[in-house]
Amino acid sequence: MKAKHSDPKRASSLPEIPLPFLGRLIHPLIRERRSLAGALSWMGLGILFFFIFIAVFAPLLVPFSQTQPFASPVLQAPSLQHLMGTDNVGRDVLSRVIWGARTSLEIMAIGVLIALAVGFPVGLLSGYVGGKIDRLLVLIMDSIYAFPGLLLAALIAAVIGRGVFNIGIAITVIYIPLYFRVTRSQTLSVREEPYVEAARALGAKSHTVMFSYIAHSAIIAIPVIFSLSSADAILTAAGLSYLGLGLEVDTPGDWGRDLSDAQSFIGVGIWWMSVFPGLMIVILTVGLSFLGEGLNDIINPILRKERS
Amino acid sequence: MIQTNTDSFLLKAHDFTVHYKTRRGEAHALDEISLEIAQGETLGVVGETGSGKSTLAKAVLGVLPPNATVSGQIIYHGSDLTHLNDDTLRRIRGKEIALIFQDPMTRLNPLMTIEDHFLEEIQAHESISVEEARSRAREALVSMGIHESRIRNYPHEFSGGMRQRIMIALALVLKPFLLVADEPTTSLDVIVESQILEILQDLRRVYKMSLLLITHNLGIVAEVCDRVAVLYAGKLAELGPVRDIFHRPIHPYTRALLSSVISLETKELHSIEGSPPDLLIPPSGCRFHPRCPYAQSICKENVPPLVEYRPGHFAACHFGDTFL
Amino acid sequence: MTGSASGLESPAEDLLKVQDLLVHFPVKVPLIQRLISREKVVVHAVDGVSFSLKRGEILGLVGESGCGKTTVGRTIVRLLEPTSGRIIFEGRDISHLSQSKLRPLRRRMQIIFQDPHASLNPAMTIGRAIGHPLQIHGIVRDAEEVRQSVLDIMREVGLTPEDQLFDKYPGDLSGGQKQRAVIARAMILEPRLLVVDEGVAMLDMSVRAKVLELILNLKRRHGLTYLFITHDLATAKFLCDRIAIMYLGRVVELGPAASIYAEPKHPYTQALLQVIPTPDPDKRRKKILPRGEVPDAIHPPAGCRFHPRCQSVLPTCGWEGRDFIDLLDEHLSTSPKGVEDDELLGSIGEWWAEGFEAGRKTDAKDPKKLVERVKEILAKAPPAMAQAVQSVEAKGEFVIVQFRTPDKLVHTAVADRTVECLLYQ
Repeated sequence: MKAKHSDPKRASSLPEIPLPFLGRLIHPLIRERRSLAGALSWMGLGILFFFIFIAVFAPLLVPFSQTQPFASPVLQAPSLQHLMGTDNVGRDVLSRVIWGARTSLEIMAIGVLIALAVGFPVGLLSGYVGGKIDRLLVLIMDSIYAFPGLLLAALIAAVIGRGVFNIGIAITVIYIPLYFRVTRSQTLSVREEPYVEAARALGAKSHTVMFSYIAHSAIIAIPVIFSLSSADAILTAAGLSYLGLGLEVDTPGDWGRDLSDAQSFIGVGIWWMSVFPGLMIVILTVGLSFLGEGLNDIINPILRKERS
Repeated sequence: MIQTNTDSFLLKAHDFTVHYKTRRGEAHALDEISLEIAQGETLGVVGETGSGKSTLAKAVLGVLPPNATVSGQIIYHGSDLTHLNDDTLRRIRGKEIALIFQDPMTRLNPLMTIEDHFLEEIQAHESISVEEARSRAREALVSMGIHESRIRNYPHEFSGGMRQRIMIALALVLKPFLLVADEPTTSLDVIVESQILEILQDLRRVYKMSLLLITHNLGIVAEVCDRVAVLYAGKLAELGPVRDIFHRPIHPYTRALLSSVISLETKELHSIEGSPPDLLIPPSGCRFHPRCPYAQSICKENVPPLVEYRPGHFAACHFGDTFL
Repeated sequence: MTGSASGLESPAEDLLKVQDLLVHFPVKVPLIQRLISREKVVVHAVDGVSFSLKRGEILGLVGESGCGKTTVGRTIVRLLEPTSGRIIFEGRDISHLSQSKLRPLRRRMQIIFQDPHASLNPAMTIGRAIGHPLQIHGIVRDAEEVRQSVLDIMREVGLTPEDQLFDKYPGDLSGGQKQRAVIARAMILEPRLLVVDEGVAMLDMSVRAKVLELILNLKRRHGLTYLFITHDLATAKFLCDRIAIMYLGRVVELGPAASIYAEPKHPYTQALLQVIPTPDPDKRRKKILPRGEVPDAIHPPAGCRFHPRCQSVLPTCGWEGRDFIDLLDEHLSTSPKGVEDDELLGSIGEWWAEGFEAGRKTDAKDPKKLVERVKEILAKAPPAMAQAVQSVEAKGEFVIVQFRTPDKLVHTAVADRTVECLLYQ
């Protein structure tokens, strides 16, 4: 740290990152790496990247590329050949777990990204424009928000059918109100800042004010929500599969469904069918929660400083 | 005019130093400050943003943030405030040393009536009956020109000036020996500011209370202070009787600061070149040297000692003699 | 509305003309109260303000907080909507121009706020922030050209070394530098009118002078016209050609700075000038301070708004029922409580005031006694107030104190300025 103080006037000596948003996120992450929040975030990021790696290279990583049933003997305990054993229809558990990472991340990405793409701009608009439009949007979003998440997703999934994309859509509906609310409340507080009034005085049009002046501040809360809702999305997707409302039966990997299948075997000592997919869900959601909580601790002081 | 009399001081800081640990390093908020406040005197502490004047106020009250490291002493009634435990400090604070803030709403709880505030303050320090406490509270309020019928009102039901007067009444209800006022009138309008300053002066006369007035407004200092301490970047630049400071300043910073004041008599503007230093890496030697028009190489190398040039008039400048 | 009535109605040298400007803000009233009473509750932030600004001059708008000076500034650049009155900028009535028609005009009128830190987007670099207006107005599209203009203006306002500061964020700059950046951002559009709202109040003394110097230099170089809004009379005296003193939404005195300071006419101006602290310990003096504080602008006092606090008040200045209630309140709180007195006058809550009347329902045993008591209290009131009382009478079960209607207050030309005070009418 000390050695980097080359500019004697200003001690903040981290490299300038051109994208202001990323810069505002990455600088504190680097600076705070030794604090608890920083460690949590980095740990969460590590776990997330680990799963992304597995998901991307799943075809190369799986020991048994075939996913058909009865390719191997059924219900074998973990061994050198099947590190996590095989399930009741003779599929390699490790392979299913690896494919499952891909499925989970796909659903998560679809669900959360669409929620962000809809919730953020709508929240921004609602907060900035105010008035009747705002009231109507808040009413709609709040009624969705008030609905139990899993129930709502199950309902939608039942209507639009199975498949990775459909489940992603079903989940998105739960999180749109979340992004909407967070963005709207940020917008409401930033809207009254003098620099926003200054932008209006400079002659900026509404959309310029919204995107160049307000969105910058409103977006800073998003990474936190993004991580936390991702964790939640993994759980919801697994929950849907567990209830049998999730993916097609021939999906190469589906943690929630595997858990559901394993349920009847726990009693007879076949632990590997449930423990491994269950562990994956726990690790990934805990990792994402770490990231979310860590970022929250790091970013919020910055928000506070920027406000004061 | 109160002369500096080292025997009758109420509070004395000796080589008092406060550093803050920050993420970017250690900030030298105050460095080896030595000054004292006599009984019944008003000491003005002036300085710009980052001069350390608010740190001084916090230190005197024992409310420095946890990232502060302290050395040196602040002697009050024979004991060193920096070594007292929290309980003792709490007993002194409010009862003997009281504070009034810049913004009254930071001290007043919006959910409590004015009477509740008083009762809490009084009962924290004295074991007297509620009735007695109530009558003391009413008395204090009336002495500030606020009708006692309003004692059950909430803070938001008062105007800004009245809130400030309520705060002063709160600070004074226990008749402290020392009142620390940190920018007490900055958020007020000029007329109300004058009213408050007048009240403070009257109180001082009546109670023989000492007042530590921290401000950036030199006009106020000239009007109410007996002595003045000028802080620059955490160091004491000059200390002396108010007339000496205003009419015969020694330190180049004091002179520059005085000439930068815009008053009704101002005919031309003066400012100080450069900007205040970063307290994480304060300049070597005299901290003012990068901005000082008279700086020589010695100013860069050696820290100037605080020298008494006239009775009670100290300055920390290598060339103090030439500015006499 | 005449959109482009030019030349004819305002002489060429008036860059800005404000006529009878009224800005009222509605107060949020709870629903139940709204159902009970139809009365509209508004804050009379600006209540009939007129002045004009010649090209190249600096007009100071001076007053305490809550006097409406900031509202005037914001309304002139149409960040707020005027309730009524006219704002004529470069000969064109802009008071009700739509925001889209206003946008091109914003190039020529800019505003600078008090807090430089809050005026800059924390997520924009200084260079981008300063150059942004050029892009907003589509003046310069080429990125390199924008950069050049920004660097030029940064040099001009003394934001140097400009190429180093260009990529800094506002958080990395000192207060003075930030205010320079804000000025540069406004100046890059080459405005004709610059409204400066407490532009130096938050800066340290040693920096303040430099920013004021910059303001003066820019005026000289670019022929700028300023509306300088401040509570600081000393700064206004140094900087401004003319001064308008505001109190509770009205301009009470307007004239050349030098003569206002040499000989203030309005009692409020006199009071203000008297309380400025002098940085000279030998010039300490006892001040005669106006009583109390600025009343709230929801129900401003009748007649001259300064009358309840004025040292030179006349019986015709606008004494009203409320003033009597205040007097009674003071009497009840200061006099040792005689039981008889208390019974007779009752508590302050039993009295009402409406317009120029104040009164109380009596127990009707002997209203005359109460009338006598009220008269006694009035005898101890300020003479102007006592003389303003037309009658104290018992009417049926009420005792009513009736004040005279005040004289009409108009802006009067006194020597080189206009004053709104009955002393000069």
